[in-house]
Amino acid sequence: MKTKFKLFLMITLMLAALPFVGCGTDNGEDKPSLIFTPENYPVVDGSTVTIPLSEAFAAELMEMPVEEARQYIVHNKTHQAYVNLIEGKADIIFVTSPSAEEKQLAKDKNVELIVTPIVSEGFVFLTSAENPVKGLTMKEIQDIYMGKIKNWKDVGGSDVPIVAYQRPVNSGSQTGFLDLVMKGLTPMEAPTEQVMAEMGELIDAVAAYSDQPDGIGYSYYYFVTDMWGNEKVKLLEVNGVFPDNLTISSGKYPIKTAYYAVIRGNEQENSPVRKMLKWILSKEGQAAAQEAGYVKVK
Amino acid sequence: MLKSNKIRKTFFVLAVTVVLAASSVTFNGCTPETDDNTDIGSKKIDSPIKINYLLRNPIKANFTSIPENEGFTQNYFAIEGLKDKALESSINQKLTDLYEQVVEGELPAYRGIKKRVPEGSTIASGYLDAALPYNYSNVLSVLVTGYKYFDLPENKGQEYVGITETINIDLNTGKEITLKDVFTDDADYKALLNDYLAELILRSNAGEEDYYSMALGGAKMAAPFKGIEDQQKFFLFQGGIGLVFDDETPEFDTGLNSAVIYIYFEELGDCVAITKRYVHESADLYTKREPAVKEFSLPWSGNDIIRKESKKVDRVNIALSTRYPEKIHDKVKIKIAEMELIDQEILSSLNGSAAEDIFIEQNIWAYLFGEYTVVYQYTGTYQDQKFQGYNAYHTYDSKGNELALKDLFHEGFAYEPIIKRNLTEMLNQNPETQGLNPNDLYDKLEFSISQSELMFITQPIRFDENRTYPVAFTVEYEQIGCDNLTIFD
Repeated sequence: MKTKFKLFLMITLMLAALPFVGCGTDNGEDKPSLIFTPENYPVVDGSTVTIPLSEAFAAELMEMPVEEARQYIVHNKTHQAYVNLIEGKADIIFVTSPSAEEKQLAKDKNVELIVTPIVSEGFVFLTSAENPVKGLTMKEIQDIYMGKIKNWKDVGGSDVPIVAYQRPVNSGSQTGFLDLVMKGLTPMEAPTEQVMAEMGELIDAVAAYSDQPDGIGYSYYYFVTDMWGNEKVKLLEVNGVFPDNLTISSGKYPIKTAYYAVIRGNEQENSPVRKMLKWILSKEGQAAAQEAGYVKVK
Repeated sequence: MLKSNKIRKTFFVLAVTVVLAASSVTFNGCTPETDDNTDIGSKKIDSPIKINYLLRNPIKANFTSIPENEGFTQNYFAIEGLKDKALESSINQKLTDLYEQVVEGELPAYRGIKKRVPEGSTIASGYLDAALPYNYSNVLSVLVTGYKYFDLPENKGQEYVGITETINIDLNTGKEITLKDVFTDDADYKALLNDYLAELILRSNAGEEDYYSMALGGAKMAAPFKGIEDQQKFFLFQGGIGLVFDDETPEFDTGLNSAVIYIYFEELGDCVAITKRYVHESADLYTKREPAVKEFSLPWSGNDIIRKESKKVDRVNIALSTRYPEKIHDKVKIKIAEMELIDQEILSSLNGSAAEDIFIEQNIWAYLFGEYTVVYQYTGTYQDQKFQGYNAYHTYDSKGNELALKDLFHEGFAYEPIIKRNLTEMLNQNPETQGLNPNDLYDKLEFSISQSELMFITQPIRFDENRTYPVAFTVEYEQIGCDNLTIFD
């Protein structure tokens, strides 16, 4: 009898320590189907760009206002997040796709990375709202950035030289540009400008995009759709498809990427982290992502 | 900033151009800007507004320092000088509340703070510093910065949490001023600031997580910038507005600290009303009856033309640096171009030297104070362990004409005794210059205007075989009396 009671007590305590998991993932009720407390919320980490996503998930899963949930979320930027996951200091990370260096690090540490796209992202090209050009083909974009097309008139615009802005070397956007757009082609040298460095000295830096009619620049969709002043710039169609939530989510827009949840392969089936990932991909999780300004993955 | 009102005594060393010297205060006063509106407190102001100068409030900040050994290190102040003591007391209570909020209040709800400073953390040390970056035109802007260092549980190290609080007060009524009040009533201040910030964010690559930008105070964008709110935290400084981003603006990822973006009045055009909105002819606010002292606002240098060059002419290594605001008069630009040519006499004398390493450094810096352009030229030579410094100051009016010293003063005003007195005081402060005769140096003094004082520099003085350079001193406008100066006419 005593043994049975002990067993019952242990099971009860174990259950209490686990996050509450409801019967269904898409229950359509107000309460989320998975609930954590700040004490048992998985250790999350990630890129800067996924901070609001992570905070939205935390708010839903801990049932608290985002202002409060935010205080429990620390993202240490992309590379450090991967390092933390691989070293077991984070349970789940919300990031861009792993670099070759990060894949190698995981391999060296004998850690399998399970990389799951959780929200869609588009890589978009911007120009001034005054520019008559509505869109470009992928080939035209590549040719512009290789210096083969130099004037807007060659792509249906005014007789104005094209200023093709790039992003700082090794930045997330520049890496995305090289991987998703140039795909092995070498872009021409980026326009530069002199900027003041910390000690007051002048240094040459990659010129930042300006919304002059002669300019073209690029960004991830998330940062430009809802920003102040976006009426001054317009997004360009690529291969005849305008980037918006629907075309990016469906894959119709051709320059598509994603933000990912990454967990270790040795996460136990039905562990809180796996349940969390399942919830993120559920209708509830995707709705939270969309509410936070991201594009649903499905 | 208020501390800058103290009499400052600094000896000129090597190439530094901006140096201050002793001055005793004589209060001749200035005439405040006035208008016909007799309402107390805020009044309607439309653009265009031109800010020629600022009117310093005759308010004293009485500082209190609590040193570290008494716990939380604190430097804070209470104000004194309002005629209405009840009003003064209520303003001081607001300041006290703000200090207490920083010292004893809850930590700001920064992103990640409950993870990085978990329960069980204890304060290892703390600091509070209150400053008065803007004390003009019946407006008081107070900036309180502080930090708390926490010892984390289980010996997991320490964590730093920075805190920034501000309060902006109308001294007529003691009411708090919002960002809207800083601008003219016909201005869409939010659109103006949001356009500015959006452009800055774009140009700063603020969405790139590994890219640091000084312009954003190190903040990164965690989400698209959608515009500031009505209650955006801010303070005023002598040149413009400091916007504070912290836990209340989560799209800016500032870590466990705040970030400040400085925007100069000059960048905002003619719709800044703060120097006019709270000034009333009929108001009699202060215990000091003397009119306010005038100062120029802090010059903006964000649009400067910058040239740098390093070259070698024969055996002489030359480093040139020129910087001036784009909008100064063309005549002054031509003068600057002439100054950039190294004095051939200096060059020849150095090339004639037997020394192996010969260096010339020349800096030409220009600033706009109101409508006036000031150019500072410094040339330093170094050879065979011998250092020689030369300085020239120039002040030009809005038409590009260079001013003589006498042009700064109204006719009949005896400025020479004041300048000589400050020169003498400066010489007497240093044993190496004590024996020099001020009358010998006076005739060849170089001068310029600046924000709140006239700046002077002597011809180079030979201190010993290896050191020859000028010495500098200042005379505050307050000491001269603004009514005696033509630059505020």
